Amino acid sequence: MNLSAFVAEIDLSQPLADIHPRPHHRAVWSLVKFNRQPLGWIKIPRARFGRTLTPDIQRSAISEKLSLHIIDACNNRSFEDLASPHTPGISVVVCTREHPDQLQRQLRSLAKLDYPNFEILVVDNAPRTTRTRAVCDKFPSVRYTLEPRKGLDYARNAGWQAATKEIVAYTDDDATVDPHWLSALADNYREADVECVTGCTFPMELETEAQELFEKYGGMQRGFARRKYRPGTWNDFFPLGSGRFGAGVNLSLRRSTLQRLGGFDPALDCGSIARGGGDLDIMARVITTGGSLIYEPRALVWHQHRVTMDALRQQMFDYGWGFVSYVIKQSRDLEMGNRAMKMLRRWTRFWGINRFKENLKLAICLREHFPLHLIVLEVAGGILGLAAYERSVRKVHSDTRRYKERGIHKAAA
Amino acid sequence: MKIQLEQIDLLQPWPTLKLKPGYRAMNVLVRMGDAPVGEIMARPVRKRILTHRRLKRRIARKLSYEIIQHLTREAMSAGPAELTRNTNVSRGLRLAGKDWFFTKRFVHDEVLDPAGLREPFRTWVTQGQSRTTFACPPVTVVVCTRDRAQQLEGCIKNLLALDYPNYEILICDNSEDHIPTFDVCERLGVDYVREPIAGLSRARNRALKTARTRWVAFTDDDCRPEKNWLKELVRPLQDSRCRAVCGLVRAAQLENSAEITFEIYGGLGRGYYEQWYDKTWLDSSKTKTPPTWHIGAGANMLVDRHLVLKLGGYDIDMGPGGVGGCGEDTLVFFQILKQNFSIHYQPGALVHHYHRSSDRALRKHIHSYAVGHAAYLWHLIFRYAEYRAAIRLFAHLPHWFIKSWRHGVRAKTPYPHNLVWEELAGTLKGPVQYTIFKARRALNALLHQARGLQSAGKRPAPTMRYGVTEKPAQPPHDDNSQKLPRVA
Repeated sequence: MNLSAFVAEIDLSQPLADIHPRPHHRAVWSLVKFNRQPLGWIKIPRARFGRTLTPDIQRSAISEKLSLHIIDACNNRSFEDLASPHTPGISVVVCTREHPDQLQRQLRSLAKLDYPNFEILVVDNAPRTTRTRAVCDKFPSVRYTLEPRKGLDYARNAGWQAATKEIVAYTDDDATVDPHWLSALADNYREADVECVTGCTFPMELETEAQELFEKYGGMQRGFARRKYRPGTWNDFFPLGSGRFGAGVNLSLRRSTLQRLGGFDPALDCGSIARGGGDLDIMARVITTGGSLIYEPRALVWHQHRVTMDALRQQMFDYGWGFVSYVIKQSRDLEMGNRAMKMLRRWTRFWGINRFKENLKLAICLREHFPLHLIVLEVAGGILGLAAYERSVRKVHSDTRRYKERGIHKAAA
Repeated sequence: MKIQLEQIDLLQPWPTLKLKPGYRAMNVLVRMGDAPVGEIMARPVRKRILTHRRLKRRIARKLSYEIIQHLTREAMSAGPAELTRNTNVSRGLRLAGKDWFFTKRFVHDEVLDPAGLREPFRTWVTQGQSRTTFACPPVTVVVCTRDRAQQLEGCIKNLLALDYPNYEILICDNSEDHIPTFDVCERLGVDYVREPIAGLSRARNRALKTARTRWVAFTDDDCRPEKNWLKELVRPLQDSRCRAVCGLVRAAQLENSAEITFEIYGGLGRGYYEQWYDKTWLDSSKTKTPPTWHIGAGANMLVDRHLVLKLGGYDIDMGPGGVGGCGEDTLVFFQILKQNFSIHYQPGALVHHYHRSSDRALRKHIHSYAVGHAAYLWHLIFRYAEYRAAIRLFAHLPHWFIKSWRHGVRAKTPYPHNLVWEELAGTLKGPVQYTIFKARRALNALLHQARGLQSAGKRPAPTMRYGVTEKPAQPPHDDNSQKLPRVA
């Protein structure tokens, strides 16, 4: 079945305009913003508008879904821009590996940022070709860095080590950023105790079933309310629930924090044996070592989800695998070890078994449901990945030794 | 029992609502300017006055979300400047994701006021309602009538006062004695066409053929449309695939138990929320028949003339004058949805309907509704192979009858249990009568063929037209570039 939807953006501080989805789209998913403040999504089925989504229909759909949010935004004046913006220097780090077209799209969107004080760093991770380099050469303001060791967290570490500004903002090559992204992030660093700020990540397109399913799975959105997590406010599900802080595609930290924490754990995340969890790990470490974290919904990034079903399956498997690796890493801690394992069992029960049961019921009743095999894959990834972190750590050690012996690391730096 | 019907406009200062002698309760339609927001019931006891204090509390309790919805919608229509100009700032207040109590309290304290809406909400609504614009295509308003000249006169007077740029009124007379109806039409100066053979479907088809505009709005002679009725009814036509629109039907009076019972039975209104239906809705369930009768009522609808005529018009064997008292409009809705077009329900288009006022008439009415409904299901089974209709006819409806009869007998519902028998009898009668009608028609056609007549089964009907200027048939123009599939 064709599940594609047109992704649009409605700004209430501008006069509304017609939206023209392409003929194959079954619905319009529109992000409703009030100036910079995102209020929520409205999903309008094709049955409601036919060919063109006129402002009148948009208004009635918005008022049905988001009227309370609009009243809140009006009452709290959250649509207003800040009078005196805070502008610390920011290094934007884009870690990439053999995605020149997507990287070019990302760099174009970064060129439109409205922030006064920032630099762009592209970290090319273990490249096989020079295509990434060629793309970077097209943009004069972009600094190119090479990281020969394969692994996203190696690249992230290379990024902050090469950065010169006070704050490091990470994003991915398969995303684009909003022009106000950095100004929204930067403003939260006014408070000295804030060490990490994450933002909102929305789907760039919903053209295929896989992308729609990923959004149904939960996507990368973490809500529309700004929230500050202080140390000690997050303990009921520790170390689970680190995902609620944000995602690695839209993550910024102080460089001093990264120095203090020793950077990202190279044994985690894509490219390593652990396949994921690097962003969860750094956010958890910020909180547990006494820093505060802010989730800022005004900082928008648009992410292109996996297009094919095969890629989505792989992603689900890796999510389970990476998540468990992260929990296993936490469980090495003497104090929290048993708790981490207990929570892992709880995750399997709730996220695996209960969710599977609910969707199985829906499937039996021929109702719309989340594909069962994706749930199974994620939990299977979790079970098979139990030993991955140990192996990953060993591999990182041996790699480090080897690189040191050969002196490649120095050459790259 | 009598229920007093009242209206208040939240923009205007509220009147004192006093229960008149002889009435038991009060039903208040709450509106915001022209738009109906919702209704509340109240039974003031002390001095029989519904105080503003109680009214405000009741409205905040029942309709706070609807009110906020209308406010934000109109604020967005008024434009960003109005939306951001909020003088009534209550900082730190959050309604979304919080307990419902806060929303109710906000509406009670900061929005509602017996002297009219508070600022800035008042400006939002007035500005928004004046700035909303949409295309108003030419419409023919058709009233099909049968021997009710007096009621028709009231209806036409309301129609003549409609606030709409380009519309014409066409009365389709299905009476036995056409003189009084014709007199009324001539006096009020509206177009008149006669359909001599009895039957609402025939009358509607005649009107569809006579009308000159693409969009035809139907209402009944016992209806009183509001001033902005037509304007609201064409509003969903922004949807390029919309081919029919239904509106809200509210009782014009609830003066006796028959009228109240009809409202309990379900009435003709379909609530105060916009709805839309299309083929995905039609196919949404594997076991439940798509309830096309929930879409709206024939007393308040707008259809695309070209499409309905292409679909073969209203089935002359269904509806009043054919089998049963309903079913022809639901069948057309079904066909429209089947063609992958959509139908909208627009509660802003409001007409007031005088229900049957005697018990006998109500009984007959409900019986005929049941007959029509069963015939409609029967039609779906045999014409469209709808197994879901069979499930409804043979499983869901019997179950529902048993349930509602038991509840009625045990006084768990105000719906009288003896009306269930009427419904049951009608449901049994419907398929039989439908089969007889169709068989008779087929037989007639055969006989005519055997006798060598050219127009098999089709009698040339003598028609009388008054006031309608003949116009050459125009090719139906479709504003959508989609081609209509041919109808089997």
